[in-house]
Amino acid sequence: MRVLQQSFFTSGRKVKPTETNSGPPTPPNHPFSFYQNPKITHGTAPLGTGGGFRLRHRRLRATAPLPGPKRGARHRSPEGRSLPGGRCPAAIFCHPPSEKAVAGGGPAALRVLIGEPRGQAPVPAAARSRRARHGGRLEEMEVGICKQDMLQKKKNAVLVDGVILNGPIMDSKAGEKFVEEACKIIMEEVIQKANDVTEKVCEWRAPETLKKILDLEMRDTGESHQKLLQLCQDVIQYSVKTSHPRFFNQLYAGIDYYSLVARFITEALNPSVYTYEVSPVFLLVEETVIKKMIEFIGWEEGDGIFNPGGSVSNMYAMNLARYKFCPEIKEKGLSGLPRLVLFTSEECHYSMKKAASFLGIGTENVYFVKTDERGKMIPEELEKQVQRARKEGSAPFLVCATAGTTVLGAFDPLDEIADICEKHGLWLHVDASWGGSALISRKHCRLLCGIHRADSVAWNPHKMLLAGIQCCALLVKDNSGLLKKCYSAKAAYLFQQDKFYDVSYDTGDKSIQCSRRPDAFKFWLMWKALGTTGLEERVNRALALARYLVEEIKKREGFQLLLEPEYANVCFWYIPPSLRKMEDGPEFWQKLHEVAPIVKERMMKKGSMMLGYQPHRGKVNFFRQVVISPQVSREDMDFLLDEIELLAKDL
Amino acid sequence: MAEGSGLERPGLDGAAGEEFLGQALRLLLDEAVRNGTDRARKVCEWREPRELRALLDLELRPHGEPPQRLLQRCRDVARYSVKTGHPRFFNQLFSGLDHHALAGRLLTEALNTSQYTYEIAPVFVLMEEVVLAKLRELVGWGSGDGIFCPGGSLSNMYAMNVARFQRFPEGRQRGSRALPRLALFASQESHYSIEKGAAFLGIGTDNVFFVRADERGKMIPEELEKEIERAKSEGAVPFFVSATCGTTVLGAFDPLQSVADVCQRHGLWLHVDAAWGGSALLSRTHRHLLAGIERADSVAWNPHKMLAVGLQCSALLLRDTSGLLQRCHGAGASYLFQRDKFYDVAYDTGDKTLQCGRRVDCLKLWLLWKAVGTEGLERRVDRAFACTRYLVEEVKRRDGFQLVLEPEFINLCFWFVPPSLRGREGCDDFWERLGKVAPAIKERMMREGSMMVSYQPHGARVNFFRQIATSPAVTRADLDFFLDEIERLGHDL
Repeated sequence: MRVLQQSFFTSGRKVKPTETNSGPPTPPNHPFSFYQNPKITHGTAPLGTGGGFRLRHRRLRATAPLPGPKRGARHRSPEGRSLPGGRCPAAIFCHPPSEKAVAGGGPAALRVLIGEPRGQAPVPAAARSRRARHGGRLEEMEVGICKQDMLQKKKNAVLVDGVILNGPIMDSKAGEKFVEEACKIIMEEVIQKANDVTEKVCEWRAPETLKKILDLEMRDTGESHQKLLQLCQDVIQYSVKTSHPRFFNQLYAGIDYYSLVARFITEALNPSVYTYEVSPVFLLVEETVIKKMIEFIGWEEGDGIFNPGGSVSNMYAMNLARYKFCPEIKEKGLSGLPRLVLFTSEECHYSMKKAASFLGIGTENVYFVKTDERGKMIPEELEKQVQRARKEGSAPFLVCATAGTTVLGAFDPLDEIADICEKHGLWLHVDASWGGSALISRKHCRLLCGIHRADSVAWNPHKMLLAGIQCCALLVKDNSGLLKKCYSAKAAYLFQQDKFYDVSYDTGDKSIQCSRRPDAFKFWLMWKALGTTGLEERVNRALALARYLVEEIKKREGFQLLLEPEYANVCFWYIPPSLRKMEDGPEFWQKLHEVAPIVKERMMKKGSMMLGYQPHRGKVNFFRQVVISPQVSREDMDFLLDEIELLAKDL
Repeated sequence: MAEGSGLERPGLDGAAGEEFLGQALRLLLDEAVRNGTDRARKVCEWREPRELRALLDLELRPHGEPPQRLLQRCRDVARYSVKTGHPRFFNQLFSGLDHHALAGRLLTEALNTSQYTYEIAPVFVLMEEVVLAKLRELVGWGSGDGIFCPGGSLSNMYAMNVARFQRFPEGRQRGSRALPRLALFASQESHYSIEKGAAFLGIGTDNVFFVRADERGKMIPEELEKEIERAKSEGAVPFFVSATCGTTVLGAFDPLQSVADVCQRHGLWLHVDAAWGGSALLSRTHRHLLAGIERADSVAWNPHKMLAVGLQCSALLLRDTSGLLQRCHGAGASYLFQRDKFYDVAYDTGDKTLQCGRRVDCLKLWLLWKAVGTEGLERRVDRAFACTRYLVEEVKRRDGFQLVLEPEFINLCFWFVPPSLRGREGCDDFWERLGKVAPAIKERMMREGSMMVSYQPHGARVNFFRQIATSPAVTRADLDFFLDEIERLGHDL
């Protein structure tokens, strides 16, 4: 690191004489070359308050101002010594010359005097007198400080409110080097270790301990690059390795190199997807990906948008259905209207309730439909609920079916639900955030049979397909611009209609967001790399591994499946030896309830793997194991079961 | 089903993947980081949609492509994308590339986690808390709550929902139909997300009362008072005022003290949409623009705009310490927020959000802050102000440039009057013709790729340019170039 620093800051900061417009030199001990903002020049008046501006130019002698202290920090000279009194050497330049001194230096509004190299121009009277007042000490100090930078003459230096505008205030070379170093760490510590099962999944520390280990505080002054890289390493060390083959905790896991590359590129290009003008590539990519996803749903045409999460996609759909049902609500609001009622299964994702409250529909107007023992909505129950709502005089408008429930991985029977929706004229939304990816597999797409009859679908490729958080599409069957009509606000500053290109490409007004991330791109690049067949293999493999695990669980003593999984969620209890002979009764279940949390605690403290557990609808705590990552092999499945046995044998 | 020896080995080639990633990182550093910020290169490489679609070969096919082909695609994506980090990208309220923040963003992507529980994101749960506390401190609050949201629009909507919940907690369950007609207030210069929010939340856009602003774009407190009375006389129940700090087009700051007085008098929730202007809080010289912000109930602040943190980094800050956010949005999902965990589940903060999975947006800001310190951020803010002031004076000095108004902030709004129109200010068709100048210049600059700046009509004003310089890489030469280039592109119009 030492060497690195030197090359950044010592040699790297020498400005070539040809770079006439480059900024003042960088101090060697600071990561970036920020110039001191000599506050003592005026300029506290806000812009435009009338006569408040102070645009001052001054004759800078040999050097430009150097970074200086603020908030009590002592300025450090390039040699690393602190300066007497913590005063900034730049202070000698900070006092503006009097009006007289600059009079005649150009139009009154803009007094820019051209700074010339030392010795060629007279020093303004005020500056002279100030220097005289300070005596030789400052002169001497200035020479001492600036010795090595003497050759860099500042030409045309412009100081506005004490801010030098000539050079950039950042050192790009050093910055680039920093990014390179950070990339190296990311490669070594995150990527290369992602495949290594001997690495820990997590390095557990209790919150209070971790707070002490991580130096989180944000201070007045910056830190060296060396320190920053160390901080990055700490962040990595104590973060959970979601790409580890033994991370089974969530509905996402693993690493896909192609999507990761796309995500890195996205970060480097930093686009916002609202207009073709600003994001030409990413808008076209989004359009392509949405079209392709629509094809898999089975619609001939449609619309769509990528959102910050499946919950938001569900909210979009709910609002869209409401808009279709009664467009005036957009203007008038809901106050005084009859009850709008929506239907979803008991096993649906909690975002339904959150959406109903956020959208002002109210949680009591979400009617939960009973499910069968496998977690699938019972169509007859849906019919009953719709009848009930009608009888109550409320206005049913939406059914939300789930394809891949969060805990059990159940798929609602879409065809039968679609029949009911058709009969009652209800919008059918399918929350396929988790299960949607099965559409890619010819073998498993039957799970979503009937999805083409939906009006809208939420599908998160960041889950099963490893596109990376977040990658969530809302797809809409309507092709008449419903999405746009529902959401548009026609901001004149962004969606100008007199642009020189076809403004129908400016699709950002379809969104409830303003700036929006280009989340389709990572999915696109991954798809390009793997092809549809590669994605299909991924889904097939994950489900084959889940199948394998199910068979193993059936074989092993002490493991008990909750139910035969339909999808990649394998839900099971582990019954430790001490409980195996107990009679079935409240005590047994109470004891079993306590097992999963303890096993979880032990696995996290050991860092050997991670998987989730929960109680669920009257069932005591059980594990939910989810296989997603293509890095997972059969051995990891065996390990999972062995490890649970090992961690729980004494319970 | 589980037959197939394929399950014995990993389903992807890690070594090949790493190699690809290594090559792509080099490409990224060259194309996006170095070339993308190089003045000698174009800001954008304009192509018509149809042409670009063909160039990119967007179609998704059954079979995958080899790494070299993919790298070429990445190069193309970088080439035809707008370089928002380029020093001459003045088009949006964000620009510039900060290397520290970028490193934080790359790390965020590599770690790929979701910010809901301590279990899954221990470092980021703690970090978010620290970052939010720091932002609150700058607002002037010693305590409070907050959350990072996917954009300022959603931050504003969160605030609106929390305000509604605080006033009518029963609305969460019963819905807005059971509530009286609600009224909310924002200046006519406010961001369009206020209207979108009112529609989305079921409040209705008709119930947004737009308060008149003065000629500089600042809300007139007396008008707010009048609108509140008007809403009441119509039988609506006022509950929420959104003041704007840094309006999108003009960069105006509403007078928070007077607005807060009105809110206090009427018992209304005061939200400050400081998505754009919030970063001025970092500058001791300029933070007076937001004087009174500590009296707000909630503040939206997007460090991704002025501080070049990278999209998205958008905080909603609350003064409340009673857990309002949690009560308003919490759903207590038992599969995620188990109560019998072995650690203090108060650290599982994800239930405060509307989202389920949520991106880690704190790391990039935190790393940037660590790198440059509060002082470094302050210097950036001060410098952006100074750049604008420099331009204002230049615009005044140069022939043909006309300020729309003296900027309060760093939105430089001006017309360029081409030589053919100069001296014709009295003519009937002057404004109509002037309104066509900005689009024509914009087209030319985009086709050349020399820079990007936005324009818009606003109220009764015909199209004018709005220039924003937030990138720390911008120098005076870029500012001079900017004006010269407008002159050059518009001289024959």
